[in-house]
Amino acid sequence: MLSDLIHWLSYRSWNEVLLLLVGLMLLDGPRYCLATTCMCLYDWVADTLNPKRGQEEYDHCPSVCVVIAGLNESEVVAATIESVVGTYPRLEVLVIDDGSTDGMSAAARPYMLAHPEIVRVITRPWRGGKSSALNISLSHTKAEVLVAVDADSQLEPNSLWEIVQPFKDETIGVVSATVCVRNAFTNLCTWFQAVEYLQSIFIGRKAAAMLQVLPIASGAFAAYRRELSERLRGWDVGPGEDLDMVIRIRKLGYRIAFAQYAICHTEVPTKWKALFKQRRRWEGDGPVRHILRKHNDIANPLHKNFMLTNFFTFLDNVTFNLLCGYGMVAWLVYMVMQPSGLGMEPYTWLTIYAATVAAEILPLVALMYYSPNRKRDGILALAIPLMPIYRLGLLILRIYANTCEIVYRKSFYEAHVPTHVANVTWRW
Amino acid sequence: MTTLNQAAASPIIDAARHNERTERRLTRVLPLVAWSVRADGQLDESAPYGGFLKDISADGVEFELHSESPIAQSTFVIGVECPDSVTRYAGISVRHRSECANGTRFGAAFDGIANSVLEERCRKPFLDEKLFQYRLPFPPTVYESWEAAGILKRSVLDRVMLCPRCRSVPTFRFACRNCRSGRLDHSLLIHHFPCAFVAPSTDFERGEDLVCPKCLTKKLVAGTDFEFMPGEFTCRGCGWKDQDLEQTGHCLNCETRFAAHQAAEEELVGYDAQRLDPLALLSIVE
Repeated sequence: MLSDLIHWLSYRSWNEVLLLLVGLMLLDGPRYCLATTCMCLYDWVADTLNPKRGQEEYDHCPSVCVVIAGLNESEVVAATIESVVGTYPRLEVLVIDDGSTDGMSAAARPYMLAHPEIVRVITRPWRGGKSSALNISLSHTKAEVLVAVDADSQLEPNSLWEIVQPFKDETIGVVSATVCVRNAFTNLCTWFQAVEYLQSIFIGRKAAAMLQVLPIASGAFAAYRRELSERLRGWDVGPGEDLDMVIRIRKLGYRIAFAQYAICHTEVPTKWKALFKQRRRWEGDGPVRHILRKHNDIANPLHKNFMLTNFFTFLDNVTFNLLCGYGMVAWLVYMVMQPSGLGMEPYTWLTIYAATVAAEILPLVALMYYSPNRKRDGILALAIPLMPIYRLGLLILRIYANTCEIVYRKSFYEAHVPTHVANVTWRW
Repeated sequence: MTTLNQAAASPIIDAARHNERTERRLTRVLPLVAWSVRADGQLDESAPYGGFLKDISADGVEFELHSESPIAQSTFVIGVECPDSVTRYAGISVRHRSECANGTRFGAAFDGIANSVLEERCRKPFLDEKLFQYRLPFPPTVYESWEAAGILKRSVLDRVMLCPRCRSVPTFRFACRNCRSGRLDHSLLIHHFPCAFVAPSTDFERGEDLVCPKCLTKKLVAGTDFEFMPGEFTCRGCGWKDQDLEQTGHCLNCETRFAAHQAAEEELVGYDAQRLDPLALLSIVE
């Protein structure tokens, strides 16, 4: 079969091969492949030349306030607090219960009694949304660094040390961190997500940070210079408040760093339907609502705060998260309408599939190079032959979500924000 | 507050009927046991006397106690075995006595220290206004001796929180968890819905108008544009800021301040007794 495929390929014209390559580049996997391979090669050469590289001691210790804001997270908040308390010397922990009805505050209160000088629990009488819950922290702490942690995410023991180190550089405003999937082996749905998180966050964000085009720090685990958060008077209404905050800080002239080994473990949806809903929200409010509508001034060279890195961030997001989706649809139509019948041939799709799987394997090498848990990540990588199908599903979802956002501004009607807040929020 | 002397000086019958029982008498012979009571209220350590109740009225009893020698004591607590097989007790002081075939015959009134111990107000703790402590009117040894004889039964009436230092009664308030002061200022927060900004309400005040410091929106309308939220408490004593206060006790006696969870939790103990009530006895007999 392989020889048939090679034989079939050898008879393709350059135009046809180019057409196939265009289709490949519209997918996420092959795109990551190029960036991560280059980054990995660079690091390998640099590490070989300087064996002490990356082994610096933790010599920066600013005061840190970990903000755990959540709604109805009584079952998991205790584990999150436990994963934070005692891992860092100059630490405050603010648990903000955003009007929970399941006794989240009561679950956190024993830790406040056990560590009264570290843990504080703030209870809102009714729900106000995640952004305002995070903003409450600004009037409750004077710590130098705010670390936002989701109530269902647990940190590794040295994660706080890792995430504050980039703040040594005064130009760093936000530090993004790695989010890993805790329930990776629950089913195929979580398995795919675990591989995706490893590739797009653990490896992908490192590459994006190196290229200075990282536009986001996951709301699950990210660190902000408090002075900047205060200057901006906190987070704006979500969804997508994490992306929005990072872009606002970028617009102030600060850079975004990525702490690869500041790791938190989080639960991901175990049902396809829940995953669909989550991604529809993420994809919709990202490039369209925040980049294309709210912060389109970062692409305006005449704007007083114009920066080239922000412009590339805009280009990166709009191109890969928005245009590539529609480009893929156009490419599919073009392929099917080819007079040569290229789009109808099974070998065409077999070639694309084989190339996509191959493009997943190169980032795997990079992943193994950086991975702190090679055995686990190696097992996760067994899902790679099926990843192109998963990525195709996400691409379709992205096109759908972006279209909904462009046409209906659907993110403004999400249950993520309470109705009384959503009704008066500015529409971008 | 009732002291030992006051309790002893509060007879159930008035002075006019002091020496002679004027109420209608119920003549009934029932077995009884009698313990002699000392002046301090404790039971005499000698064995109780056996005997018979002869008659009973609302203000006293007539009874015989068996003994080989004359009985000189004049204050007793008697336990009468009633027809319903329950032993009921009464405190008496002897008014007159006479020798009889088996021992001594007594005429007695329901009064004296023995009667006081059995009264309900003396079997329950009261709050001493000077020491702010709960205590019983008689010394603990009195109740212990009566309990050992089976006349009184110990019962837990309540649980109370007391000062861990002096066991006096405290008052409780929500106070600063740092210095335990109750002098606090409470701030209100405003959550502006459109921009999610949250800050003390004072930050929003511009003259008589409310203006969001983040998005500079003017003339904010409560409920539509913003909501009030409970903010932090600031201690006027030490400046400590916290959203949650700690329940703090303040001892009324020694003025110690302590966290509520440090309070000494004690049981308030009283005593139950089956009192000999002539009217109740009448209904049982008939």
